[in-house]
Amino acid sequence: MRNAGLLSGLPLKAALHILDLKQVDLVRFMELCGYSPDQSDLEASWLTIDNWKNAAEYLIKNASGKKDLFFEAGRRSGEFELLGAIEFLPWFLSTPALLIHNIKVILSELDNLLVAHIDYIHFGGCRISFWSNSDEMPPPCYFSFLQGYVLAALELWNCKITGCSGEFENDDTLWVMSFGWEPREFRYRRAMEELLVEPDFFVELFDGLRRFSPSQDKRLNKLIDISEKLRSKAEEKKVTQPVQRSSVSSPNDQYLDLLTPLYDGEIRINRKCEILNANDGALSLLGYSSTDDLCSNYPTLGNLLNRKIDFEDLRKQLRSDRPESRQPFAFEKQDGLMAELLVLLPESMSGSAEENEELSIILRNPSLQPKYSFELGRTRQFLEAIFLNNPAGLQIIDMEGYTIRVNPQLVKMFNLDAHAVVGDGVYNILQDRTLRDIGLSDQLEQALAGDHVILNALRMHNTSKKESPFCNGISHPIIVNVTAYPLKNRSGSVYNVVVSYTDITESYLVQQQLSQIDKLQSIGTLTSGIAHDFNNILGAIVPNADLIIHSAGKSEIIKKKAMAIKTASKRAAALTQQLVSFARETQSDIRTLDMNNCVREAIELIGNAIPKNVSIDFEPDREKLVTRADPLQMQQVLINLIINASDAIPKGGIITIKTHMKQLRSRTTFGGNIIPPGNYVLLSVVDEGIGIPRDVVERVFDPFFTTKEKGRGTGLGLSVVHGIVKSHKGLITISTERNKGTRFDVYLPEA
Amino acid sequence: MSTRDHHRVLIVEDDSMIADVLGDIITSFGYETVWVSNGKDAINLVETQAFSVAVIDLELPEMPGTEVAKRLKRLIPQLKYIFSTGYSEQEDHIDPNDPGFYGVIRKPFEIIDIQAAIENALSNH
Repeated sequence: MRNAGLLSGLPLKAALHILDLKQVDLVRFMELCGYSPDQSDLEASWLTIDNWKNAAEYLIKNASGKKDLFFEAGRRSGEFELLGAIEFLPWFLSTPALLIHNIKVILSELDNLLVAHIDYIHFGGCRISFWSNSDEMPPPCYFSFLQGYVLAALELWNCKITGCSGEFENDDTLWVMSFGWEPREFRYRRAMEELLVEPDFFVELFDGLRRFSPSQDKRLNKLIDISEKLRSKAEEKKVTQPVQRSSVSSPNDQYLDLLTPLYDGEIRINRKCEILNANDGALSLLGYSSTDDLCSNYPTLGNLLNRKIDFEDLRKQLRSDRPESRQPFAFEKQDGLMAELLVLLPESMSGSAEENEELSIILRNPSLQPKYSFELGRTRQFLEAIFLNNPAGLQIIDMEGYTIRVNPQLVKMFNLDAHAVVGDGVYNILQDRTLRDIGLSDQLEQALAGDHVILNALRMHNTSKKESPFCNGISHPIIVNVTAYPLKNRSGSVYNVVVSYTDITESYLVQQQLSQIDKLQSIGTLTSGIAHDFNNILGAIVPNADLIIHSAGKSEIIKKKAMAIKTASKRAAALTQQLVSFARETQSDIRTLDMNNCVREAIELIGNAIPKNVSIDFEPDREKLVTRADPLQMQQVLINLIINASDAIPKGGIITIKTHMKQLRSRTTFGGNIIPPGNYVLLSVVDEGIGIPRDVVERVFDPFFTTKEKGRGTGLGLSVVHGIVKSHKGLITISTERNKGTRFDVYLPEA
Repeated sequence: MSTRDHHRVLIVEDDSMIADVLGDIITSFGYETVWVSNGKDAINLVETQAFSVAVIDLELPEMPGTEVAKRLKRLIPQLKYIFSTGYSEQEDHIDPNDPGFYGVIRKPFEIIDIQAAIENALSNH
């Protein structure tokens, strides 16, 4: 009868392993556990709490005064108590069934009158309180020692500790210690193997048992046989060397049964995948009565699975992390029906040398996969939620470039053929040609080597399904920022890489548009500038041609040719005039506007175009400030000034924009321009940046003049600003001081 | 030639080729021409020399033509001036009501344009 609950009881067999049964009548003990000698399915026996209570009582009553295992039992108002010595704390922790159902274990340190009380224990952890019956508590170092001792014991039992804590409570009268561990099934096999490495310990354990064995119990006889063998081996070798593992797991070894948890089957195969041995668990999962029976029908693993199995492939698959290797295998049972069983490598065996010739594989009923404790389940949910809901597209790749997982955002972003990318186990991102071409594969290789890699503004584009299941049929380019970072284990080696893709297409396009507008505006300004210079040049050609005509005298040829020069030049002038008119037409859309609104709109527009560490502080005048201007051009002025200011503060900072009404009492000039006295709307853009050097200030408004590196600045920004301000009959002035900052003041006539 | 009074024409133009041909043409009308390449030099010159007409480039680099005209007028109140321009947008800054203003010649100008402007300015002398 199994217990309901997080851990469904303790297998009887486990109890036999754990307890020191030297002191008791084993038969009687077994009876109390609900086991009768004629019961054949010892495997199926699980300790129920009632059984255990009785058995424990029995154990306790029969305990002799020996120090090795000392515990008393008592009953107190419905609660069952076991009293033992504190040294045996770990042993009690290894019997969780004991404690789920309100059996208190109180361990007292006889000398110190210290009492330990196991508050609770479940599949994922436990809590223990300590208090003193005298006035004094032992010092904290005592508890640290105890904590370490318990940890060591738990680790011996192969509990993977996930956390532990210890602190004083209740005004230092109580010490509370708690442990958390990974809620897997108790790894008896591993624990036993550890024990087998120390034969003395093992021999002693079973030696004790020997004294209590009824000869008709074949199981116990087996245990005793084993102990005899070990003892003789130990004596033979005069044990200085631990027993080799290979002798433990050699195919014919009878402890195969002992070493496997009850519900797991184990099969041993050789390089040809021939079945060498199968344990009872495997036999029962597959419906056979003996290994011979199994092997006569299905001599190889391939036979059982009804397909060809390659030893190397199988081993590689079992070692991998990929989801498809976690699928159950379909085994053919004796009755012809199929059993879906998980195939796993035994944990202790991974990486051992003898795996090259023979392999042990575990067969497990998928429904018996350990369930997670509540806390771990919650953590898992939490992490899952983060992975699934992250706005970036996420992808996890393994060391060879195969994709382990992707989140829904990634699937959507690239119109991924998720099945091909993750499920089929064939697609390798490092070999994808389209991704190779854009350099993504190289970056991933770098990440696999341990670097944190960032790729900005990668253009991903694929219209053909055949080329890549990544970017499957997306018809327009997406621009993404890609970050790849390695996941490293404690020893620092990389085991997976997480690739994160952020879609920046929109903001990239906005930036492009802004720069387009910029270019158009500057073409307008340029045209005017060129027209001026051009007209000057023609202005030298035409009158000179004229002079030639006037001094040609009688030479008709000279006159004619000079006329031709004049005509051609005037035609050129007309063309220039057309260009200027055209440029002017596309530029001006003058209307009455409120400067404060204009600034606000520009700030909003500039959004993504400036770095995140730069912020804009707008201090508008309380009054409404009205001027007559082309709103688009005003935006251009603001955007260019802001971008300029943000370039002056590479480490980030604040750009201040102010507006107010300014009355100019006299004519004001700057850089060859002049405005008459009057009322002006003054727009100031201030940064506390690197300032403009003196020799540069004069040239700042020249077209194509830039102090930025090649490719970074067009040099047109400020000349555009200058041109716009001038055409609005305004004035722009600069006030700057090196490393203190720069201030641009734009004066526009008040409307 | 004697019917023409002796007039001195000041050319304020930063482009030397234009200044050159302008000078040639105006000289061919019978006037004395003096050339300076910027507003400052014009102002300095005018303190010691008299001129009847000034042909001022609107797009001078250091001081705009309109400003030059104003300052010259302060020194020679009866001065007449003509603007030359290669870029018609600059014309917006001109004050057409100023009594010294005698029109604009647009580059590239021909001899007849120059002649008309100068004679217009000097006929009302």
